[in-house]
Amino acid sequence: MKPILSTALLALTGALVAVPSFAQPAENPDACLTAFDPAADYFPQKADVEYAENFTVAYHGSYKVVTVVEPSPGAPSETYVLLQCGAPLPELPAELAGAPVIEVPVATIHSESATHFPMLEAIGMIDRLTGVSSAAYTTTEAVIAGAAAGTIIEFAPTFTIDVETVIDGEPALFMTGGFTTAEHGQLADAGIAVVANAEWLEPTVLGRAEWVKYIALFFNQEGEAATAFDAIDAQYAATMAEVASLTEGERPLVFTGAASEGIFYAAGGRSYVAEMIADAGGRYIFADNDDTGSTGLTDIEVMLDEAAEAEVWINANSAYRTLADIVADDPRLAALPAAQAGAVWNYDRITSPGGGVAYFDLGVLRPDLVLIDLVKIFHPEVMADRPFTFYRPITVE
Amino acid sequence: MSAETTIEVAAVAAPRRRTLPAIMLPALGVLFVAVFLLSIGRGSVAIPVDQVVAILLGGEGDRASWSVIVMDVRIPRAITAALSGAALGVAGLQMQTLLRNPLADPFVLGISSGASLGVAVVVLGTGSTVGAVFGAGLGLTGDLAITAAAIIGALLVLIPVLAISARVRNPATVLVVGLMLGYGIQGFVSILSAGTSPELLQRWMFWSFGSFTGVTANKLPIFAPLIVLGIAVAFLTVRQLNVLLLSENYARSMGLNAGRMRIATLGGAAVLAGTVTAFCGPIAFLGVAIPHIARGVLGTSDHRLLVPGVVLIGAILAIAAQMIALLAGDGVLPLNAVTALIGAPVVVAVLLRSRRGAFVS
Amino acid sequence: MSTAITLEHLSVGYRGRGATHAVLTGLDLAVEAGAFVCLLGANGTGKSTLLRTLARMQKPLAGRVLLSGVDIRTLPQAALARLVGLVLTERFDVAALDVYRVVALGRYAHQGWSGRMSDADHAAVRNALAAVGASHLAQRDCVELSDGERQRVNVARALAQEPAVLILDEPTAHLDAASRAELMALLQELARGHGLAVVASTHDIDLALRSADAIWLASAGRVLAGAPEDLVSDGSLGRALSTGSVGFVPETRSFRLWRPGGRIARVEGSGLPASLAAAVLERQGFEIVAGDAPILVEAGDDGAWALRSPEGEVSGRSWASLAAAVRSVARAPPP
Repeated sequence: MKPILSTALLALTGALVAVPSFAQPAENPDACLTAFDPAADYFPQKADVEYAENFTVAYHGSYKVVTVVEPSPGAPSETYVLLQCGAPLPELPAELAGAPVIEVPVATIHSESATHFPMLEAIGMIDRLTGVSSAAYTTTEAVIAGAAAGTIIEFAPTFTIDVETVIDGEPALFMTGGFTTAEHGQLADAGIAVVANAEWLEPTVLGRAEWVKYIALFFNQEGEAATAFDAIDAQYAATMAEVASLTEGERPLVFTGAASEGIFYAAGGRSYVAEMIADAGGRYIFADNDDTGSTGLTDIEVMLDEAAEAEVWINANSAYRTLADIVADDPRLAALPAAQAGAVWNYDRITSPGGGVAYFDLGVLRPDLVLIDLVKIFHPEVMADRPFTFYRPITVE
Repeated sequence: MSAETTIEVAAVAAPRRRTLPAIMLPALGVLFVAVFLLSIGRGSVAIPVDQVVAILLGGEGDRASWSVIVMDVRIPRAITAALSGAALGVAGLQMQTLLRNPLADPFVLGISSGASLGVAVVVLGTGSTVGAVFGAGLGLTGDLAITAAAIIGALLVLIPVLAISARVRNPATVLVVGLMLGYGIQGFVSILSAGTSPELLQRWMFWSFGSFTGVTANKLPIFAPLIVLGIAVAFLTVRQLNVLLLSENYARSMGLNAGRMRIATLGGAAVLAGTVTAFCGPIAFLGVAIPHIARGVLGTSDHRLLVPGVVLIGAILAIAAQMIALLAGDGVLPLNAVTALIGAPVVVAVLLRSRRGAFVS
Repeated sequence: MSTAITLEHLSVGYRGRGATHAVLTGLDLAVEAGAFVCLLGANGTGKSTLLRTLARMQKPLAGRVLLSGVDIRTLPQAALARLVGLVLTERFDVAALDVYRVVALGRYAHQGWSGRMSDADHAAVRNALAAVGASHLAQRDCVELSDGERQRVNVARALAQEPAVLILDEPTAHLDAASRAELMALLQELARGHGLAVVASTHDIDLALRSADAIWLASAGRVLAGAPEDLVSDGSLGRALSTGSVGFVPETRSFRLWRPGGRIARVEGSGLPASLAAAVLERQGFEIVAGDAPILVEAGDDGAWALRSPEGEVSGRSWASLAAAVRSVARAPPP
């Protein structure tokens, strides 16, 4: 396990190096103001949001007003005032009267979601991370090492936030995973700045990846975030372009998901997976489905019928290593043409010892790398020189 | 044991009541065949009836996937549902009679939870190697390990429940104890699951919804014989169950070796509940409801009629619940939601009626 | 006649943790076939414990029980069931099971593995129903029966076992007066007519003394056995069953409440009017004496009465008016 993991991480590092390097800002963005000039613009680097729809930011000299449109499914929007450290509290308009005021850049952050860690790494702020819900499910090595060394605390190893641990950790910022829980209120009452991160409610993969810019707002790292995201955006577009001219007949029929107890759980037709299958030059069997997450519980009959002509099966089951594993699990699935042809792919090429899968954390920041993998799966002749990052096939003996 | 025997007895014994079971048992048999065939003809994919018939007669459907769906999905599912329903009904009946508690069944008394614990220990507790069984499986070995663990888990709960029911006469008290045992085990399962991967947890959640579709044709050779064995115990002990109707003391005074009977019934019920739980998940409330429906339909408490009646009604209800889960909504409803909707009203009705002393003293 | 039940140096009671609690000890008793024995005794004297031990529902602390000469410890459960039928205090209610089938359950110990009802089985069930006079109930559902009918069916179920011994724990409890008398007559008939040895515990002393061939009297850790009349005449029944405030009156074979500071009265007359007049006086706390007393009631055969007391004489024609007069006399301070 260990050698495989490190090899995989080496490959991953290589992939990251391919992105243009992130320049250090000229002045120290961490420094608090010692003298205040009301006319000065303290945020020369401004976030320019292209894809993301679930957050907005407006700049006002010494403070930024950040709004998360839907912080948790169905929840009303939340607005935060991010005030440059050392600047006096400004006269705020009436609608911002109740908004939390957070001094930026923040010195420390606790985060609920492993998807934030690669983003923090991308803007060079991973050392500000002092608390995570659990270090078990991340593949970000800095976090695994930090948790092992005790520099990063785990405040929800059993999925429920231990409020006292967080309060004791005194983070300057607590960032949610996009689900509001009762503990968040207790943390806010205890004076901790709790901000939502609902990247997963974005309709597009690039919009979701762009939340790296949102995280950067709290560290005054807008420049770093823009550099990182622009490279991702560019590589995604370039990869799409490789398969853009394919005809309908050249695009393989694809299905996703795993069956459990005869109930199938597939990606919805409006999901990120469906979006990327299309972008990678594939046709998704449930493309007409309107669900953004999964299709919900689907009977295996439907799956067998729809997948009867599919050529590729992705996001199957991480326990599948060989065709024999599929036969042992459910012979009905093994009999599908995609399985018989060995065209079964799982996204668990990189895993952590605790059971984390890089696809779920790094993959959120790097849809470009996911897309390259999918293009290579659907069209092996295209981008043949590029390595796989997330996906591995089953073996057929 | 056969219907012939029972009907003959009824003819001598009670001409007025003879008619109901004499008509109802064959009627239930016909209904079972009809429901079974219907569940093969109807599914979430619309396959024309003539195609289904052609496939059943050994031909090929217009689409290759249709043959797979009929032969490898619908038939094993119908068989699994029928066997599971019969098994849960029989286990419920055995426990209701043995404990003299009209609300007893494997789910209510926490026996299914015990079986779940056995499954959890194998699936969640032993880490990745055996844990993989749950998803991809070590095939036969894994299924056997999970089934054995489930049966042992069921026994581990059955024994204390039985011991407590011997001390406590109030059926509701035994029930509360069973519920508490169930909650305790759920808590333990939660602790077990705390360290496992989200993927495994999701599979665990699916499993706990209950499903008859997971038992594929290659698993039936383990599943079916165990269920048949468990049900056979009930068929072979109908006389013993009958004398237990009065009370255990009366049963002894009439010559029943109560200790041996208890062990046989305990073992049989544990095999039934454990096997169904291992393969289909913890199925809620069917076990408690089926015996009461059977008593109502057949109009008798005589186990010579009740056991076959429970087998048929259990099979019918389970197949019906499966079909409702598949066809009622958009996509699949969790099976447990459907069985709870069927079973919960029966439990409430029994609770309300038991004041009138319909079944227990 | 053969000995159906033999108790040899039997001690019954309970084994606790470490210690044993003996309830009745040193029992050497026998019941002949065809005999009806009533087991009497106040609550808590160990009647149920003794009966449970006879039916092997609990182990004796010492000694042994022989049924038809066989030590019950050596018998398999089914063989025991063919020797002894049991009627317990626990009530049974089985919905949707007719009387015939309930009684047929008694054939369990006679049936083979298949459980098929043979002609002999059916005959035994019919005979049992006929013996208790419940043939007409055969197709009724058990829950529809009256208490008296249900108890008869319960006895029939035990009879269907074709036992040599019938043991019944307070079979007349919860029954109305007529059903009690009928049931005791039935038990007597089962002993006489069917040659069964019947042992029944009961609190119906009067019925027991009228019907039983022998009385077992449980008291103070022992069981006193004898013919009803012997136990009455030697006073042991009175001693065993009387308490501080309730006394057994041998003549009437019934209990009477003692009242402290009771006053005495005399009744003149005969027949029913005299006993009714005495009943009125006793209800007001007077003890009826044969000799001189300050209160005298003359009861005429025509129902007229006259009451003489230190306060004077009153008379009337209804028992209610006598009761009112006695009450007013009783309220007057004693001389």
